[in-house]
Parts: sequence; structure tokens; C-alpha cells
Amino acid sequence: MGIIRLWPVALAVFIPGIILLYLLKQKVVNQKISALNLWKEAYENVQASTPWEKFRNNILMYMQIAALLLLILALMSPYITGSGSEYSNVLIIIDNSASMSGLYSEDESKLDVAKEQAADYVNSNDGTRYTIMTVSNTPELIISGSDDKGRVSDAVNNVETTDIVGSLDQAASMVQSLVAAWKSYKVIAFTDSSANMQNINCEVVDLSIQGNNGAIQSLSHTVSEDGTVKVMARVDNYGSNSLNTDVNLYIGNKLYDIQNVTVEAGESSIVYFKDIASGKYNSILAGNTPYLMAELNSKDMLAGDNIVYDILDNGSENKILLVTDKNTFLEKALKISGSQTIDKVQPKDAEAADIEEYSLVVYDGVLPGELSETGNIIFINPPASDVKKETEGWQKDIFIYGKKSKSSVIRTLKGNVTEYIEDYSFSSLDVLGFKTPKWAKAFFETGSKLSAGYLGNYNGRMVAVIGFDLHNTDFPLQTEFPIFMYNLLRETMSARIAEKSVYNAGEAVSIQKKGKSEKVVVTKPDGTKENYNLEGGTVVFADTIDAGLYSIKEDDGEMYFIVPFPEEESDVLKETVITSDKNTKTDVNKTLSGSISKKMVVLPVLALLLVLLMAEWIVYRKRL
Amino acid sequence: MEEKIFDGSFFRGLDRVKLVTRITMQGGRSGMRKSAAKGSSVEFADFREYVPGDDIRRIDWNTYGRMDKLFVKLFVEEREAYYSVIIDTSSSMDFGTPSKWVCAARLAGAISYMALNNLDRVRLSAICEDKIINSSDFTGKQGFNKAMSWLGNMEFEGKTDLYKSIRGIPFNQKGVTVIISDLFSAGTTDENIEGIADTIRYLRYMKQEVLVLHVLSPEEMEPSLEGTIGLEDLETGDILRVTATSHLCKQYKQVLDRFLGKVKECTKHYQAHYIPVCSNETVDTFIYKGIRSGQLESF
Repeated sequence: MGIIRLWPVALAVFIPGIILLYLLKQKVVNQKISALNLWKEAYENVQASTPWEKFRNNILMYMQIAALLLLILALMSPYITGSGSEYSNVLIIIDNSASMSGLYSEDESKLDVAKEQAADYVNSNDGTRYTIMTVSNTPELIISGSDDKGRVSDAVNNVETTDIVGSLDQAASMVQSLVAAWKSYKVIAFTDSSANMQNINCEVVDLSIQGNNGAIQSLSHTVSEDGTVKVMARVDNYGSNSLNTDVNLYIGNKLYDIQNVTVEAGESSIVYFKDIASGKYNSILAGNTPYLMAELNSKDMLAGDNIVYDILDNGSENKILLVTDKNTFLEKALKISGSQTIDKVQPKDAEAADIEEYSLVVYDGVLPGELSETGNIIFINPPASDVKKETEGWQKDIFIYGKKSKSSVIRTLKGNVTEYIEDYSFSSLDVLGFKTPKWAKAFFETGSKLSAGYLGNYNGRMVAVIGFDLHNTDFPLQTEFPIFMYNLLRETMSARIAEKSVYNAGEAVSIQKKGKSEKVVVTKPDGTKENYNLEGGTVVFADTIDAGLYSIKEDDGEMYFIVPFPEEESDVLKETVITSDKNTKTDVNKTLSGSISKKMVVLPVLALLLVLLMAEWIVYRKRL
Repeated sequence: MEEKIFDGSFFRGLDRVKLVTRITMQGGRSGMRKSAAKGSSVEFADFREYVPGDDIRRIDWNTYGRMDKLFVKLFVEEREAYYSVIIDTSSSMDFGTPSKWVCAARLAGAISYMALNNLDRVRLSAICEDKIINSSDFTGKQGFNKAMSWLGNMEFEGKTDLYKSIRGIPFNQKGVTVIISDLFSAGTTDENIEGIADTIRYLRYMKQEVLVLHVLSPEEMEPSLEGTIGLEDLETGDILRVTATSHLCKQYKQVLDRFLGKVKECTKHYQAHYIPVCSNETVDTFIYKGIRSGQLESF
């Protein structure tokens, strides 16, 4: 039983008033008796009693106090909730994937409704052991077999939404193994998407609801040769009505452009924003976070997919220094990086160049005398004579010489560098085979299982080694070559505090040490910061459950990455699909049965009050 | 007298019991009770030597055969018992449901019926304060109708002073005095007990066998009062304002039990007989109690 409001308790101040009235106005009724002497003697024995004794048998006063208490109770709007559960074990599964953050009513999200119904169920059923599970992309047991209702309610109320794509299908096998150990159980699942409930006795509360939902996705930009930035975004209408809305584009946190777009139901539309001129772009970005943000102006039932981010270059240009003798087409290939400045120097002039200002130095067929302290490096076809030497210099950590082959088939190994070109092989003459250093990961393998190419984070910088001359292969002539170069440059040039700039919600981010950084601070979309120590070289940050822009700041560098709202979760018109079988009972309801809606008991209380007042009137009349 | 005091069921059972007296009668007319006098009856009493003038029909010839002397047989003379039934007619007797006076009249009727049935003589007296109304002596079955009529005309008013009232009643011969009263009078309970003791002592002095029938109503035995009440004494009109609680009622019960105990002790002390009667009890219950106490015996 519970109450809605407390203020009527204040009316209890009238109770002393009633008592006072009776204390002051004792109505005496004379009653004839045969003789007083026995009564006198009896009364003398009890005369020492308190004045309150006068009220002992004053039923009218008690009735009036009871009536006032009932009135107070009625004004407090009491309600009752359910009763004992028939199950000894109840498993409550709450889908907390991204779509559950959508609105179910004007001020309640689907997850709020699920939590409220689950908590009500827990509070209104006794003698049951509760297991609480949340499911986004993976199932997670929050409470296992607890009959502490307070603890279970708290756990339910503390469930938070994530921006992770997922459904209850992922929990099926775990649920089946859990319920297999229970003799009497009920599974209650709250979801708005599909659920595999085969071989499970369950009640699925379907929280899917039709409504309007626009989503902005795929914000992207291109930088033309003159430095102009073109920005476009895709707006999808997942709702059942036509969507007309403004789309705001922010550079950093400054509003740059507003475009209006109309999208029919179930369709999508591309929005092109005003080009950002090179100069303007730089001036806007000065002092601002280097990202673009597009936002839908209209409100709909799912707010999470109304904002999208895109990372811009950091403003500081990625400059590449190519130390080569005559490799023109390598120079062309490097332009794939989009870098505006590629300086080419002869090996003999390399020492004179200010290497510190380049983010990537490519040594083609040569090795520097001394290794610069910062900057990423790609060594292509290092001179065999140099890497063979057992020296004490910087080479010994980077090159672990294995064997030189006159010719060899080189095979790609699975990794970030060979993304999209897995299982590809080509032939090359004069291939240097290396043993892969501990800090690196091989991406090319020779026929003799040595490494012909590897990449890794070496003392806070990305270092890649390719053990053959590109001229000696037909690889540059293949379609896979630009892909390879793009991947290689992406992996080496990003300095790679993190591997990627876009992560799925829930995906772990491996943060690499850059330079001599000792600490890293990760700022989440809600502004909270988390500090990590970089002593081990790598930190895994897994708290990416919220969509938005994250920043990683080390002493020697900063990087941003985006967790986009998953497209799959935006489709509010998607029907809930419950998979069940004939052997077990599966109920699908919009509201949890066996609970819980608060049953108001104001009318019964008022009826009781009326009966009491009538009884009081009868007693009063009889006493007259 | 609005209530019907004596109905058909009243007489049932009374025919089968008789009043027991422990005193030997002296004087009075012949009746059914043993007396100290010798006379003609069927009950043998003694032998006496023949003296001239004795009725020669009473000579026991068998004794003469053995003793060679003349003896005459003596027989117990049977006399009537004299029952004096005193009824308290103060206001306090007009109380209770059923009223105590109804019960008192029935008890007086029952005593009268049994006495007259046994060829005894009955006198009824109504006492109230200093007012005494004595009936004439009733004898025989005809006398019962007169007694009932007399009982029906009683009026209950005024105060009680048992001792003072009883002293006004003439007791000319040995007999049985039955007091029917609630034994409530002015003063404390101890004063009440003292008055009762004086009364019994006086009656014993007047050679009376005393039977006290103490009549109380159910309301007096098990009071159920609640709230603030002015308790008004029916006799004196005094008002005692009390807040009636279960605690007070419990206390009253204790005082009443103590009072009844003292009355019983007092009657026992002066060799009077005591039978407490509740006004809602039937005559059968009274007969049962009388037989148990030895005041009645069935035949």
C-alpha cells in the first residue's frame, strides 16, 4: 500500500481539538440505581485515575477521531499494489539498447516505463527470488537470485540506457541456461525489438510505439585542393509522416549554417551545407574543437539520433617528408593521405631537413644516421647492408634481420593495414625478411614465414617497415595498392592515440601512448573525464556506451573519436518480433500483467468514512 | 402491579417441597410441626406411670404384662409453625429488570404457599422506613388467596431501615421469620452489615428462626455502565458523578462480592439462614437453592 500525497497529515492537528472538546464538554446522563453505597466505595478506589480515564469508554470521541483519520487517509490518495507471486524465481530482462531511450509518452522513455513496471512488480510480489538482466549487445546480470526487494528495486532503477545496438536475441542462450536450473519461474522481458524466447516461459512487454522519428546520419566532409571544405549529411525519416526540419551545422561549437530539408516517410535525403572557404574554415576553427556537428531542429521520439559528428583534421596540417632518390610514384601514392604538403628530399639532404615539423617521414631505400625523437616513420626497402649490421644503434630495435630472398611471394596478413585486401599475394624480387619486433605486427609475410612488412607503436610513434622495393613488384599496378597505401598512411599518420576515429557504441578503444606521455584523459560526451596512467603503453577504454564525441588527451597529443548513434536503433516503425515455440508459454503484452497498476482505494475509504459517520449518528441519537 | 406475579408455572414444584424448621413449636394451634407438648398424635414420645384420672384407653397392656405395673403411652403434640414474612418495600426494591419487587413478591408467595400447604400460619409484613404494614394471619389454603391479594397491593417507596422497622413488628411466639430484602440501606456497607447483624440478633432474641432471602437484580450483580454518568440513589436521591469504565465496574464487583461475603458471614454467625437470589431467577432455582441450603425438603 502506498500514498500519493502527504500534506493531509497536517490535518491531524485537529485530533487534539476533538479530544479537548470532549475533555471540556462531558455530558452527564443520570442513571438511577438502587443504592449508592457500593458504588461510592468502588469509586473511591479508582478516583486517583487520570483525566484521560474519562475517554476510555467515550465511543463517540473515538468514532470522530477515526472519521478524521479516515478523511486524512482519503485525502492522501492511498493505493494498493498486487499480492504474492506464484513463482519462486523471476527473471526480469530489460533491453537497454539505444532505441529504449526513445519516448514512450510525453515525459517517459521506454526504459523509464520498463523500470517503473519492473520495480512495481518487484515491490508488489513477495516470496520470490529475482534475477535482473540487462541486454544491449551482450547480456549482463545485475542481480542474481536475490529476495531483497529493496536491493532489487534499486538495481532496476539504476539501469541506464546505452547507445548500443542490440536486442534480446543475444540473451536467449543465457536465459535458457538460467531457467533450466529453476523449477518454478517466470521470465519478464521488456523490449521494443526482437526477442528469441524459445523454450522459455515468459511474458514479453512490448514497448515499441509508433511515432515520428527523423535521424541525421553520415555527416561527412571533403577538402578540395584549394582548401575549401564541402560538408554533407544524410537525413533519414523513420517515422510514418513526412518530415520537414531545419538542419543546423556547427563547426566546433559555433553555428555555421542552417539548411531546411523535407523527407518523406521511410525515405532519406542528402543535405549539402555551404562550402567552408579555406580561410574562413581556419579562422572558425581557431581555438575550437576540430569537429563538425549537424543537428536536426525538430523534436521527435528518439533524440539520440538527431545529432551527428564528424572529425575534421586538427587544423595543424599533416606534413610528410619523403626521403627518396627517384621514387615519383611513391610521391603520388602518398597524396592519397590527403596531406597538403609532401616534401621530397634527396637522402643526402635529409639531415638538413627539419624533421620535427613533419608528422610522417618516409625513408625510401635509405636510413637516417640518427633517428629523430618524434614523428612517424615508414622505412621502405632499407639497405640490407645497414640492417644486417649487429650495431648498438637505433636500428637494432627496429630491424631484426632474418633473411634476404632473391625473389619471394609476399602474402598479406590480416590487420588494419591490410583491411579490404586480406588474402592477397604478389611477387617481389630482393625481399628482406625480418623477424617481427615485439612492438610491431606484421602485415606482409614472405614465403619463408618471415615478415616483409610490419607496423607498430615504437616509443610513442608509429613505425612501419617494408622490406622490398616497390619497383621490384607489380603491386603498385594492382587495384589493391592504393587501398594498401591509404591504410598504411592512415595507420601511421594518425599518430594513433586510438586506432580509429569512429567506434561503435560499446566497442573498446585501445589508447596508445604517444611520445613521452604518461597520462591520458578521456572526456566523454557528457563532459565527465576519466584519467588513466600510460605506464603500460596501452590503455583500453571501454565506456563507450553513449553516442557522441569523445576526446583523448595525452601530454604529447590529442585526438577525437566519435561514437555514432546506431542506425539500426532509429527505426521506430520496426515491428517487435517475438520468437517462441509451442512447448512453452509466451505472452506478449503492452503492460506487464500480474501487476501492478496502482489501485486507488480512495472510494472504499470514503465509503468506510460514510458508514462510520452514520454509525456515529446512530450512537449519538441513542444517547440522547 | 402491572406485572403478573403468579402464573401457572409458579405453583409447579411448590407442592412437592415443604419448609423445614429447626425450632420446636410452643403454643399455637395444632398443626403438622413437632412441639414440646405431649398430646394426641401418632408419634410415640414416652411412657409414664398411670395416675388416677388418666385415660384408661392409653394404658399399655403389654407393658403391664411384663412389669406388672400400669403405664400410659405419651404422644407428641403437633402444632402449627408461625411464619412471619417481612418484605422490604423501600424504593430500592423497585429496580432492575425484572424488578426486585416482583421477585420479592414471588418469593413471599412461594413461602406462603408452602407454609399454608403445611397447615402453618403465615403473616406478611411490608416494611419501609418507620412504616410497617402487617397483614392478618393467614391459615389454610383459603388464606393463600388472601395472601396473594395482599402481596399484590404492596407499594414500594421510601427508605429502608431494617432494624428500626423490624423492631415495630410484634413477635408473640416462636416461629420462623423470613426477610426478603436487597439489604441496602443508607450509610456505608459496614453500617449496613451492622444493621443486618442487629436485626438478626433481635429476631433470634425473639426466638425466631431467621431466613434471609437477599434479592439483587442482574444490573446490580453485573453492572454494564459506560461514559460519564450521574448515579442517582433511588432512596436518597443522592447523585454520584462517575466516569464508568471497565475498571470501575470491576472494582464495584469486588466491593459487592465483599459485601455479600460479609452478609453471609454475619447470618452464619447468628445462625440465620441466607439465600442470595437474583431477580431474574425462577422459583425453581429458588427451590433448588432452598433444598441445597436445607431450608426446603422435598417429599
